[in-house]
Amino acid sequence: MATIFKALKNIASGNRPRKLHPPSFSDDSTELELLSLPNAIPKQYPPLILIHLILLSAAFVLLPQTPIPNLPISPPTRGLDKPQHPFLAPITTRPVLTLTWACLGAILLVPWWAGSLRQWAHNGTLGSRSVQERLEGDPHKQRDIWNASIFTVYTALALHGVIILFGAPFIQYVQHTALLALLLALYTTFPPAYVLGPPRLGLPFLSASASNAIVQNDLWVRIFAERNTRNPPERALLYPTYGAFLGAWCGVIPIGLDWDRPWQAYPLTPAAGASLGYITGALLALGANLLFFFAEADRLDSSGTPGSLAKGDTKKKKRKEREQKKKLFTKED
Amino acid sequence: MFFRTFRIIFYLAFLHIVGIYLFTRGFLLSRLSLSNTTSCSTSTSPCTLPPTHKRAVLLIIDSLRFDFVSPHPPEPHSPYHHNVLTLPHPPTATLQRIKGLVTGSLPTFVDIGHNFGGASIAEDSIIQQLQKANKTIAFMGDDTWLTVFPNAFHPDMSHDFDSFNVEDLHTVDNGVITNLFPLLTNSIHAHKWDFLIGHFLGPDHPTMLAKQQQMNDILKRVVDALDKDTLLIVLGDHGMDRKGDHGGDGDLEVSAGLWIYSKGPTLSSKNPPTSHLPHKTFPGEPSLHRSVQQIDLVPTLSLLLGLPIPFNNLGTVIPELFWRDRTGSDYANALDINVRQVHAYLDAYRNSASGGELDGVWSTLESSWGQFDASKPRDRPEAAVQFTRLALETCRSLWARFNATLMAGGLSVIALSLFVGWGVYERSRSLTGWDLWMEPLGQMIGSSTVVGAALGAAVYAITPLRNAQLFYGISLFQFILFGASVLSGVRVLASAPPKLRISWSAPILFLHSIAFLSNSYTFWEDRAVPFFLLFTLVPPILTALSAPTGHLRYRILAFAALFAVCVRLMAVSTICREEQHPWCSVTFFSGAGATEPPILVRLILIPVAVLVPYGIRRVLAVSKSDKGIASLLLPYVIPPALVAGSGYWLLEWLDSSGSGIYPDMRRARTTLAWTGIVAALGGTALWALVPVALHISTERLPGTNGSAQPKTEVRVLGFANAFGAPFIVLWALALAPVWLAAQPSAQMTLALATGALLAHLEIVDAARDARALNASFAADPVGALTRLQQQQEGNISAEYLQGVTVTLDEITPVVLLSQLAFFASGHQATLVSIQWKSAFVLTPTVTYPLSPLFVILNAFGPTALFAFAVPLLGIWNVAPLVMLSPTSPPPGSTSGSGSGSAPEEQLQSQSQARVVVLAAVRAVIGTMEYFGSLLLGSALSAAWLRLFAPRYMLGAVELLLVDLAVLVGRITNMFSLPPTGPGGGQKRKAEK
Repeated sequence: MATIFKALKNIASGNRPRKLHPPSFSDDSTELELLSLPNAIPKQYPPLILIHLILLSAAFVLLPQTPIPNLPISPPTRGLDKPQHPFLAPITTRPVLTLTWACLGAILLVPWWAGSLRQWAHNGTLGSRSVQERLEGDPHKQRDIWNASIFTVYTALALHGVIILFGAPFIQYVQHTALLALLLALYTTFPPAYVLGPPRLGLPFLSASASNAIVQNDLWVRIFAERNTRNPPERALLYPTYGAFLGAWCGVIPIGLDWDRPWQAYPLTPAAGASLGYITGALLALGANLLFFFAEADRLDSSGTPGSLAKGDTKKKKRKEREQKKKLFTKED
Repeated sequence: MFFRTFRIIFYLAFLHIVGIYLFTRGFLLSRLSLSNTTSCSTSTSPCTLPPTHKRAVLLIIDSLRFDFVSPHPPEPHSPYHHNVLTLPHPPTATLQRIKGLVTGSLPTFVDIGHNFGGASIAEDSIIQQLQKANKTIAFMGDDTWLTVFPNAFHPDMSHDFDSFNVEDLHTVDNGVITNLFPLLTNSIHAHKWDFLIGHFLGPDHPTMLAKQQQMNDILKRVVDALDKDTLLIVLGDHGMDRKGDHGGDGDLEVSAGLWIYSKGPTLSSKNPPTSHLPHKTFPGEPSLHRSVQQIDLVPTLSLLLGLPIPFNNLGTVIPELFWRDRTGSDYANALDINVRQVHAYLDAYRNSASGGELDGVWSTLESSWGQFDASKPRDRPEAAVQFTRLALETCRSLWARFNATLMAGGLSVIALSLFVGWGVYERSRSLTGWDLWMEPLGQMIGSSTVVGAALGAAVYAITPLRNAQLFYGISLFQFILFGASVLSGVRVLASAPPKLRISWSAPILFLHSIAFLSNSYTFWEDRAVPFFLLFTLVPPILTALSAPTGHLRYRILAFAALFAVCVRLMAVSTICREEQHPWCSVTFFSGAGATEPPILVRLILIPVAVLVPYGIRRVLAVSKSDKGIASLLLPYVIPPALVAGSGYWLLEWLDSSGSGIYPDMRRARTTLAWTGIVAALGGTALWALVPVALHISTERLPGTNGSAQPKTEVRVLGFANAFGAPFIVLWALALAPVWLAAQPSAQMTLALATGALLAHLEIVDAARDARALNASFAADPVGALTRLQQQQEGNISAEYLQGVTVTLDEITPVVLLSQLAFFASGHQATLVSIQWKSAFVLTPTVTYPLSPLFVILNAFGPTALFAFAVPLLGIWNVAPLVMLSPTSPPPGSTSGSGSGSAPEEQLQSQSQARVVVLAAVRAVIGTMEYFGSLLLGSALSAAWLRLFAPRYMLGAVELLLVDLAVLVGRITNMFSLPPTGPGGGQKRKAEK
């Protein structure tokens, strides 16, 4: 929150944060002015991320319902005093399978969103590309997907160790831990690795990219360690990553309760926590991005005079922005 | 300055003590013991039945669990045998059970502390009734009985043996055996006794087959020797858990065996109606077994011997023993006497000073009594049993009732102390604000304490207020304490308001404190603590990633990895709470029922004991401060002390594993243990003489071209960590006795915890460097570069002139580490987990005060030890003096020829010493805050849920010990912090 306020103040006082990639200007002259702002967001961003999140949560809940031949759902052994909803049964009875489905869903959906994010970060646009862009193609796409995937696998391996350090059994539940680590890596690492390129740590099997190693690593450090974001795509990368980690951490807590419910089986709650955290983080990123966008637009509206926001004004400002949000939306659409 | 900062720590400790005292007085159960006795002359109705037996032999076999006696009772039912399961009430410590067995009343929880010292029974009991009837009582066995009844036994027939020396089971039992049979058969005293009590130690361990066979043999011989007038009762005073421990309320601990045998008069011929015979399933057994309350023996035995029932009895006669004809008329009579005695007792209690306790339940009891009184003869037994059982249940819940006002008072003082500490913590951020605030503080506390005490006394003086329901049973002293602490606390709080700051550790502190409100998290706290601990690594790792130099980055990351691995390995060690089964397996011992350390631990124990001081030295070598006292103690004193500690327990394992090759092992063990203690004490004395870990050497240099005079260069090594190094040496000295008191697996976890502590100190130091460098890069890139260069050359960075501000993120890991050290050293927040073995480290028999001291050291030593280390956060790698004057380079580890503008320097170094002291004080207060917060959480849960008294007791003891440890830490810290900084004065004077 503090960083948001600080950034809002910066915007208000005309201190424009630097942009990583200057946005390319679209032909559409009505959008020109807004898009040239550092906090401009394409109009496709809100619907796209919402669709992504809805699909992701649907995948988490619905994919495990797939009936698998020769693998009937065994009756629950725990929590017989208060039977669970039949809908939950396929999710809770086979945690490994549930996690496999969750990972499959994430493998399908996260890269799709990461691809959009990459386009946004690199071209400043989202959604369908123009014919020209299509013809030009993306020369580095293959390489970046490969690098991001390999780096995600590395992260998953590291996270496996981290989960064990946090208290998972060393040998027992190794599949559970591995799948949880993979799911976390998919949520937290794949999008930034695809959009920014993986950090240069001298890991094998990663194809070299043109960027300087120090610059590349500093970029990761700035975004993820210092939480210093400078444009909307960076925010859309940072928030879900932190959300997924914190969600997984919080998800461990209900395991300790003696409620004896089937859903308390490891690693269902950390996985659910990670997914919820990812979704919350993405929504928060959306909210923050909209907030910055409207704050900027508002400042522009008041004929470019950079008025300084006093501390007390921030709340008022925010309320005003919230009201304007709807207005602007309808205007844009 | 020093004493002023002490004052505030003392004051906080005072608030803690008052809060704990008030809460404990309201919380721990107490019962008024009435000195009335039953006598036959006072009542018109019969007070007893004609005796069926002249004599009785009461054989108590310690820890005789039910399943040892007879898991499958013989069918058909024999009139001479009763295989029944007795149910002791918790607490299942021997003294409490003896009290219950002879008085028939409920022992209260608070009595459990008396097991070490014993306490005589003032209440009416079978023993007293026997004495009144001029019967002779013979006794042999466990000497706990003699502390309870010092004068009751016939002097020629009383043979007591020290029971607490559990290592030596056979002395007691053989003593009992040699004295028992003569009394039964052919001695001059044979048949002169009327009541014989034998207390065997018996099978202390479930797998001690030989012991059980011995007991079996004895019982056979006793039965043979009995005559027809003698009643034999064999029972276990309590059971034991799988490892042979007792003291709690586990199913296995409260299920003891009972066997009653009579050669002469038939005890029962017909089965009484089953409604009077409750049954219970012993854990793991296939069938139901007959179960009686242990205190039911009291009325039963009294009536069988023709004695009145003891006045305080709450038990009910056992039906089988009185059901002698078809209708059970004897049983009805016995019940009649029984029920009237219970009613008389309740009446007396009602009319006593504590009669108010019965207010809420009196009408229920009276109506039940009325039902009994009005019932027809046929229904009378039913109604009588109902009444006595209701009385028992009522009293049980009653004496588990707390004084809510005192508890609320205690809670509010604890909560207030938290806020006061928070305010003080906030104040301690900077020296200037601190000094200003400290100036009038002493007077402020003093005056408000006096006024508060007067107010408390005034409230007490107003009679209607004192007698109000709310303040019932609260003494003047308690009023005064409450008034003094609350008023002064509010006064201090007003001068130092707390401020909420966002930090990574605040949620941890909050979650950890509220976790006690859920029984699950209280049971699983040992898993939650490492989980929290790992999380505390997040802020330093994030700092590491943004660190300006690769060196700092890798230093933090490597130490973070070391810390994480140490913590994870510590978390492996557990003894498992009973509630954790089946999701927990014992790793502290080599198996679930074993008491020997795992094989891996036995193998690497000695090398680890050598490795720990080496590791400390290695870390000190980085800052070249492994000099002075450190170069003497760390390699030559502490390793032998630790090895002696490990050696003791290895020999103990050899002894208890039953090989017994060397008969003199006990003496060797004692010698080893004393060696360790003497080494630690000697080292401490040495440390107190020279608490400096510096190395100063003088070197004559040929004159440089400017001056012809030769120059003297003074080299001071170990300057960079001049405060921290002596302190960690002292800490290692304190580690030695804790190590000695800890069992082998606990020693391993202590070693790991030491590794984690050192790693944490290095992380904190490196993270501070990284943040300071980042800040100076942001402010002044050029200056930062020079500083960076200096730092890489091994010089000290100047930011320490301002001192360091210890943060909650830095304190939390140490506190959690101390908490984890408690769990990893084979403890849980249960009474069962007390490792009594440690009482015999220094002496083969119980010796006061060494034995209790070592039990305490074993249980709380690890926690206190790491709390003791907390001032290190403020002083680790902080150089005592940094000069900013451009003419002289900073006195780093390698340079030293500075100009001597003495007064200015003196001033500077003085203020810097105070900055360092303040940092240490801040760390100390933060630690007290954390433990205080845990105590508040556990006290709240104990007050609301009544469930976790042991966790509250643990929290209270921990907080008090932590207060003590940090105080000692601060005092000893002062040794190494003379006002001008260690060696500061001499060093400067040495220069020419």
